[in-house]
Amino acid sequence: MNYTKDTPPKQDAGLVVGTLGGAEKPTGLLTAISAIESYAMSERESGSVPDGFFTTANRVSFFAVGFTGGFISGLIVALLTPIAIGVIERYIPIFGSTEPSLWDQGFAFAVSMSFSIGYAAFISRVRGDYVGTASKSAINNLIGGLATGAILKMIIAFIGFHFMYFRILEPYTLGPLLMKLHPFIKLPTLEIWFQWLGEFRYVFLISSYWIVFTTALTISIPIAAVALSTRGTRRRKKQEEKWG
Amino acid sequence: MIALFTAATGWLDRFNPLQYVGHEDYVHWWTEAYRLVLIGFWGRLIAAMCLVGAFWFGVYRKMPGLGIVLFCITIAITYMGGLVKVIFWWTP
Repeated sequence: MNYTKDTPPKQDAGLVVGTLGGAEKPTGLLTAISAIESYAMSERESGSVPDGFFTTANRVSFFAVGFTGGFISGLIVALLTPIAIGVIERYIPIFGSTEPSLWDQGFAFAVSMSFSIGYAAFISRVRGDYVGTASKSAINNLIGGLATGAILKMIIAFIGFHFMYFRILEPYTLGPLLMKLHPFIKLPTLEIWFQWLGEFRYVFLISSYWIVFTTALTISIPIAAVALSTRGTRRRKKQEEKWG
Repeated sequence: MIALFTAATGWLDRFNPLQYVGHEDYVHWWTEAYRLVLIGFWGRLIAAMCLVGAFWFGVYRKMPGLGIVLFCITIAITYMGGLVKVIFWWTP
């Protein structure tokens, strides 16, 4: 059947069919998760859909949603990580104090990592919907996109932080850069800035490796959630077969 | 025209807080607000509650918009104390 632009989406074997055939394409994370929930519900009721139902365009659109989310949430983490490490190294005040307690240090880390972990945990909520061909393919592509976006962000942040350490905040570059502000800012102030930034540059070096750890954590959360859920379902099915 | 402008600016004076409280009291209020919300025990408690709320609403209750708002409030409370200190009390 040839679908035109004005043809409304049609229900086919319990699944929503998009205007170009195949499943409906998600526009954001919420629509992607809703689509996965809807596929899973239909597949639980009427069994798996044929392999060709979930088209390449569908796969790419789910991948793109995951990729965008992984990349953007990762950038927020990349922005907050040097601040959190700056708190621990006592360069940046937290709650107005440059003498952070153990709680403050832990809280700074929690804040820096929470957006990415929250995003990964939000995606992990589809773990129970890993049931049929379409839902499995959608989840795999969503998580694949998240992992790719997070890894790309990690590479950019890693290089960017090293660039900050070796080039921008290196004393021979930083001095002339700050001197350009001299007509507007007094020399004693610039001297303090020079000293602070010169010491702060080591924070970027630590951050670049911490970002690798947080990226690994972000990727592993949804993968582990789906794997554990699948194992649980398999065990339950075996138990049901045993009991008849 | 000038009379109208004078009347308008006179009306705007009603928005000036120093019409109602003294300068010292006004500074004291803001210092207390800063001390209460952005630093110390209450700042830490509010920030921690907002972070927990961000996860609760954003992830568990599937309300990402509210989760993001609470996350932004957490960041503001956590780091604004130092920023305000630098802006108002820092001298080279």
